[in-house]
Amino acid sequence: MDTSERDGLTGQTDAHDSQEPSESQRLFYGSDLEVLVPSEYDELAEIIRDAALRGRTVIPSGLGQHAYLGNLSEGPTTVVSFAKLAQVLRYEPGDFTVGVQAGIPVESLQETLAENHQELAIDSPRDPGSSVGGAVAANWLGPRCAAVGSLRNMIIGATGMRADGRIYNSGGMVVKNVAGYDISKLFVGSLGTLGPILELNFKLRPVPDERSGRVALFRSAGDAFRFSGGLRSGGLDPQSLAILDPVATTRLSSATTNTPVEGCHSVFWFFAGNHGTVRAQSADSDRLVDHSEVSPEEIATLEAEEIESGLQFLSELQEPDDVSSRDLLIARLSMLPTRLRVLADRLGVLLSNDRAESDGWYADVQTGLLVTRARAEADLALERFVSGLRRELGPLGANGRVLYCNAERKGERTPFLLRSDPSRALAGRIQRVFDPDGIFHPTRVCARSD
Amino acid sequence: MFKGLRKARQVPTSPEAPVDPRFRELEQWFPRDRLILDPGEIRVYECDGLPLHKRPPTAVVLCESEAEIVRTVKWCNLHRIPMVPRGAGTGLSGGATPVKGGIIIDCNRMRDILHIDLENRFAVVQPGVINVKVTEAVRGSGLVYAPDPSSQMACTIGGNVAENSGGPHCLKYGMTTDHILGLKLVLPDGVVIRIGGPDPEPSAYDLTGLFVGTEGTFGVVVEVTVRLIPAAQSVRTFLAIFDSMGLACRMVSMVTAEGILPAALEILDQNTIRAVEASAYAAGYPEDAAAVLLIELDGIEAGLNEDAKKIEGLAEQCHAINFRTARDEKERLDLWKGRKGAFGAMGRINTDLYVLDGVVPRTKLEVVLEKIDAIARTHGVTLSNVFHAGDGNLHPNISYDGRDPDESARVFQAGREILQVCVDEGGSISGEHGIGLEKSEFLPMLFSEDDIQTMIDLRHAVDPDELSNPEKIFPDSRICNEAGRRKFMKIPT
Repeated sequence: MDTSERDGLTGQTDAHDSQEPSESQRLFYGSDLEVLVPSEYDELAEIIRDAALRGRTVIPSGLGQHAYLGNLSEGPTTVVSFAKLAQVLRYEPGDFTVGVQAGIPVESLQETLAENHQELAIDSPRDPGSSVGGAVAANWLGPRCAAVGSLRNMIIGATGMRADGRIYNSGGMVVKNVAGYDISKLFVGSLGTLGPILELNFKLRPVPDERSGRVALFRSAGDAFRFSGGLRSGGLDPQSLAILDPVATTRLSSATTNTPVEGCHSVFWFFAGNHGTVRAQSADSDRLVDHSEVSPEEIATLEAEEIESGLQFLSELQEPDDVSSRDLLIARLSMLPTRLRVLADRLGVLLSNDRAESDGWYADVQTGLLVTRARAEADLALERFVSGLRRELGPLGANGRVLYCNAERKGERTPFLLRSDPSRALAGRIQRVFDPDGIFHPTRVCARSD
Repeated sequence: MFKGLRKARQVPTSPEAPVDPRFRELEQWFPRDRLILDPGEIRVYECDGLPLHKRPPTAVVLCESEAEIVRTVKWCNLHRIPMVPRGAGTGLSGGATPVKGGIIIDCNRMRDILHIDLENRFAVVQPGVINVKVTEAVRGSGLVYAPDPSSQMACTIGGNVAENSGGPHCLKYGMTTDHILGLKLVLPDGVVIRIGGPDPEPSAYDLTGLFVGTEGTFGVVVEVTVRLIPAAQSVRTFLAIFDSMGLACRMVSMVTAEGILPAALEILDQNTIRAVEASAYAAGYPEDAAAVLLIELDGIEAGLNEDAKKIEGLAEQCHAINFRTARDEKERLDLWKGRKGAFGAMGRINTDLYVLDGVVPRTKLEVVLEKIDAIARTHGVTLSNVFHAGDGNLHPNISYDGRDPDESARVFQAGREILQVCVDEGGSISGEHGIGLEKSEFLPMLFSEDDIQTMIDLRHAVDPDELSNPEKIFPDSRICNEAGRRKFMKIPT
């Protein structure tokens, strides 16, 4: 890490550690960019204060890999890296709770927890990884969230910093706590607009004793949806139940069973728990498969490692392989599960109309989330695809956000939120409690035009 | 003192004072049987489930629609009159006690279940729907509404949202906040807003998550979208009996260390057992036991068999003097009967009951219970423990004669020290009952000035004039209404 000296408007020469911006930060935060690395909270407060005095936008950052999330900022930017604020602070395995600084990489935390056969059940991608604070700020939603909840349900306490440097706490280290307002909920999905998240406390889960899963292939999306509906209404309790389009299915197959597959949709599901639970559920699901009105073309059993690969693959679908991709767009759409089928059908039409092609989508049948990747060479094709998505979401009562598009494409035609948030005025008032002068890039989540 | 805390206007409420003529304006919107102004009739609303603090409102409106609530809230705004949303009044922290007089907005009559979507697993209900009625409404569908506070036969969904209510089964299924997908609210300025929704990522910030648990300080809920979850295929209920509380607590730790996630883990101590067995709720708990541990598992039948064997083995390891398994639903209900009737049974011990609600990390249960017993002995108070052992949520209950000021003082001092112990051991001052009126002065035990100021600032972003349920949650000095004496103990600095 380089140490650099700067002259601030205060007239003092301050020394803060700095680091080279990541590729993602360089692409998405503009040319007037500095990345500073505080070691203490007081230093962080000083950095924020100095940056504000110099008229710079301040963006908290964990591992620096996800600068592409949210609307673009304008003007000079100071990124505050949490690389040195990355400790486990409190961990009591007997309580199934852990308190960490926000900069700790998720993978590092998971390794610590695994020693006690515990986990933070979020299945975030490993490569590149995210910090814990980053996962919360981005509202990471993994493929198991129907069964185990999302980060929102796992946070039991949090510490943040306001724009004026004041540190505040919410919640605590107990799994049941109704003292005071639950400010930690606001952090989820806030993308740093409420100021830096300093610390987070979570409730944990035991790593399941066993896992067993299946992946079934179908010739059409309709068949896949009908089949998964049968599983869902059949009294089963899968940890994940996802439908994948042919592109995603081919890749899933490579990631799991290494069996070549072309042209098929698939349904991926698995069970977890003790031996009795997994065996009984697997047997029940096999019976449902045998009696389903829709028979799969093929079905494969997945063991624990293959399931883990499958989960990682689904997680990675939400992230770009290359943060400089010009021709890629990733969106996460959110609707009632019964409407997924309609949107999945429309995706194909939108893509062909806009001369784009699917780079894979998957639909979480239990939650109503659909992650779609689209590729197009032509400049306007992806903007048209986004416009098409926005048109489709309204009648379905659905919402969505653009997880990734190239920096040059970001703007009014490709906003972060695909539909206007009706509570945005109230959200704005709340945001200003933490950031009255708008230094934390307040339009990163809700654009001014939303 | 915290910056910006404002004093809502005090509205005279003594029986002798004439009714403020502005309140007569409400007669244009509410018929006589839904607008209570008579001081005698109003006394019913002077407290909730915490009768320790009584303060009558100036008026009560029994609302039957969102429109009536909007009109009332706007009227309160216009005249700067405090408003207090109220459900069934079963809250235990004085959350629905109108400290500053004003209007109680009673939502009990808004009892409709507006929409049920079984395929997408949610329902939309009005705030006055009784908790247990949600599950009843979907009976036979294989779905349930999970949060089950002990008062679920009477408490309302709106009240549950305000308090982020818990219950024995929130160990496995989470608190109310984990089951609320969206809200429709009347904000304190009268604006109606929808936040959240049944899809998994409806909005920018999780405002629903923030609003749940704000104890009526962010306005009045008029509609709630609740999550429905699949009912467990099978249930197993056990009762382990111990001759030491320490061993009961140890078994709790060992169960969770095994990776078992029970649906419920409840402990009753000897005083509670004796009160229960002498009451109409007698469940056959042995009165010479130091503690009983009620364990409930739910899930897939085959998986429960495996966990049941482990539980039985752990009971033996922890030297349980007896171990019972419910063989059918009747026996299951019998085992629960004592637990569910515990609070009612304590009415036998003395005239008044101070129900405490603290939380500690589960691994600290044993040491905290010892400290609580020591506090009770020091102050010469009668204490009965019944608690949600699985999540460390304690209910030390102190029976006393409220007519005895000396005993009352000792009881409240003991309560304060017990909550301090909870905080000192890494816990909190409320697991499920809320802060309300009862514990607002204890909030600084847990939070710093900056913490509390941030919450107050958030409150002001929504309710700048603090009209909605004023004087709740955040510490301030209180004046006893009649005598002007300082009634609450201030936390020493």
